[in-house]
Amino acid sequence: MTISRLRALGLSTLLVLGGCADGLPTTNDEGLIPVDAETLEVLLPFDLFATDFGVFAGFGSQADLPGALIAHEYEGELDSNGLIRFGALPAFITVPPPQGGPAQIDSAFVPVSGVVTLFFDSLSVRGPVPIELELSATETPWDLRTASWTHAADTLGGPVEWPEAGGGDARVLWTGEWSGTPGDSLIVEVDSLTVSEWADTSRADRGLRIRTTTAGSRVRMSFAQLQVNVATEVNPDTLVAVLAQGIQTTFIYTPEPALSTSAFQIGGAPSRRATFRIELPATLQGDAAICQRIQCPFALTADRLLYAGLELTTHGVEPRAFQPLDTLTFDIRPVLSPDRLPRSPLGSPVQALGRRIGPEAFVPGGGQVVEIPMTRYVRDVMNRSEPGATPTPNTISILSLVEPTTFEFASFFGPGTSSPPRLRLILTLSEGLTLP
Amino acid sequence: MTPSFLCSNSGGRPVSVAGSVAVALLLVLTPGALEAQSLLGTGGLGIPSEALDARSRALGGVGVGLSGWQLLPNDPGSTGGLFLPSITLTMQPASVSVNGAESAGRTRFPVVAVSYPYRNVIFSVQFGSFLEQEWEARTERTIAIGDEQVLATDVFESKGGVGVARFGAGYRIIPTLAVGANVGTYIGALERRFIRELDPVAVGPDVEPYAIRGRWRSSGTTVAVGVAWDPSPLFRLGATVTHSGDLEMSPVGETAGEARKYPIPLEYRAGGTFSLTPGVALALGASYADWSETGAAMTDTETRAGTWTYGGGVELAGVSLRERRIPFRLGVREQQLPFHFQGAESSERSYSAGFGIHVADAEDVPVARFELSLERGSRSAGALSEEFWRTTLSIRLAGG
Repeated sequence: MTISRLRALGLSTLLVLGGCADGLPTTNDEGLIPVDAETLEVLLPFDLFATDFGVFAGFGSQADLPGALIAHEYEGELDSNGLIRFGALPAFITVPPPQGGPAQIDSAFVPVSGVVTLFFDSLSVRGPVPIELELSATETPWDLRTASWTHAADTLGGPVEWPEAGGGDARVLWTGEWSGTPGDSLIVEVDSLTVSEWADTSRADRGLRIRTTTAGSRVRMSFAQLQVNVATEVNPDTLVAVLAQGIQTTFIYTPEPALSTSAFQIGGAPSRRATFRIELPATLQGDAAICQRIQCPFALTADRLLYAGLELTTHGVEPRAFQPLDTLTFDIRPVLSPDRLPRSPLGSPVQALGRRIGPEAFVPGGGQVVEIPMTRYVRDVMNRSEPGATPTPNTISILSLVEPTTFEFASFFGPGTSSPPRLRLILTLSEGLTLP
Repeated sequence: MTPSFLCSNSGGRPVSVAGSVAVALLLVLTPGALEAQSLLGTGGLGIPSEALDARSRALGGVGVGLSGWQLLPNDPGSTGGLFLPSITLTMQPASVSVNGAESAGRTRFPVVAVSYPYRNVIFSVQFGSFLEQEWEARTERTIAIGDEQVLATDVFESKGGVGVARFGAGYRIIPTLAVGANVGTYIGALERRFIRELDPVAVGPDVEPYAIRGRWRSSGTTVAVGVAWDPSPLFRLGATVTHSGDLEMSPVGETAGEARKYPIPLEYRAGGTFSLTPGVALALGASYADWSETGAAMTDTETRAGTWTYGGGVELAGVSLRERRIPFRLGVREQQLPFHFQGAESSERSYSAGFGIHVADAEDVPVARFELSLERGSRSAGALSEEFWRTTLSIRLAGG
């Protein structure tokens, strides 16, 4: 056997032996664990960890939502009219001449009539059907993003009221019923005057208002389309159908829910946010049950924190017409510049995917406790005064994950109520690791 | 000067030490280095992990008084005869089964040493193991979280141990008598970790585990002096006395607390090899240390007042294969462990067998040897019993 062979043998042996069982001998004798740890739950009342509570509104616009909400005396109080502004007609059309030959371009075509097609979300229908609808042409200049029930615009130059609340003294184009049947769209013919007005994109008063006169009803118009029949000199005997390019929708509603001073209002369109500052106590005095297990008071430190969740109790939304009809997703974000509230920039979400809460939590009576985990953020807040630590903003906003997501908003019991928010903490306390 | 680590055997090709270095690197880089395993490590500073090579293990001794010249941290006297630059590497895969449960284990490296002769003095650098705390405790308990009873899993993990880095010198006064000494410092770190995890089904996935960690670095000095004497060609006697200062464990990084000091006792080792017949040698050895002062410095652990380790074995000349001698060895060893386990005294007994392959020797100095031993042993303390298999593989190379 040569030396090299012996070396190979030795090396192989090493490799084989080196691959032996890997692991630590393990016992299940808890008496061998030299750590005395106590895990407990602490529920901090709102006034013990939070200050400067407030609710702010005005984030986003109902124009950001798809479609438009149409309602009349829904839940006895909500009126909502849809407003649609159609886009421009094509700059030119291509028409084959009657005598034959190549098609010719015509940019001087003249609208002579039109057809409006409206699509409704049958799943969103509430209240009686069929629904009586009225389509009108607006005659007052209005602004898509700032129009409200009372104001046609509230932007540069100051607020401008509608001549008549709810969209002004509009020119009625059509009245009739929509069946409420799934897949049933509404097709309405429009005269040449109206179509010409809508085709003139320089006019700020152009628009279609949709409202219902059926008391207690509510439906969402999901999409609209305007087809315009135009006459062309290239072929005077022919009408050419063109589509208006693009559509802008919004809706204006009344009443405007009041901002609460005692409830967390979150969501809606425009959106609402609840904001407060977290100031955690340095020590906690546990209740009798806790103090039987550990020495009280005890320090509240980041290394002891296993979990932190904000407990909120739902209550029915007022006015009831604003009660959520679908699942809402909530988000907690740190407020980066509290001095600039309500327009402060916000930090990254405390929880990546948000907290989803179903609409049943907000039925009258409410009372469902929901919890939004925020462990890592609370730990950062605890550590914010540590030397060298990046100060984590300790003011947070609770808001809709996307603003706005729905017209409806959520409401939770706030401070000073019968079920104020609480911070639920799970802590583990130990004396740490020591040597023998 | 860079030593030329080249060896040769009669008629064979040169043995490049590059191969040895590769092996050494493999040893050093293999995961799990300097780790071992026993639940008895839960007591005090851990379980002793003696820096012994495969031959010492196979012969059941304490690493002192074995025939020939070797590079062992506990036998500084026997380095005096190593007139060639040498390197010794020992690896030790082991598995332990506690009370018949599933076995666990890792590989450790109890001895890594090199020597170099200069003007009749043999200087050496040695790394050896000393104490180990490699164990884990895992329990489940029910905890009240609010109104709910929640299952919690507690895991305590101890890793690491204490080793010794030594610088030594040996000198052969006369052909039959050598003396040596080494001075060393404790090295290594102990890491302890406690994790409590609540049942995510009960508390939700957002509740994080509770985890705390501590790490302590060891330091302190130790000095050993030894003698190796061949009163006749048939006998080898050896003895070593090791004096240590306090072993200091200092917290590292964010670990809380102050450094702790533990007195390490004076240790006596003695042994001898006796040729019974031309092909049969008997090796015996014993060591003693009084750990009572160490116990007094600890808050929750008792120690034996005096701990003995003794054992012996037989080395048979074995066979020769292509002019290479292959000796066989058998041994038995009894060791009293210094730290009590849950108030009970603990001890270890092992039976061993092994062999060597003497690839090349120069006079009485090994040039290229592989040694292998296999031990089957048990440890016990009160109700706890462990059984273990321990393999030790040593490679000894020398050249010049």
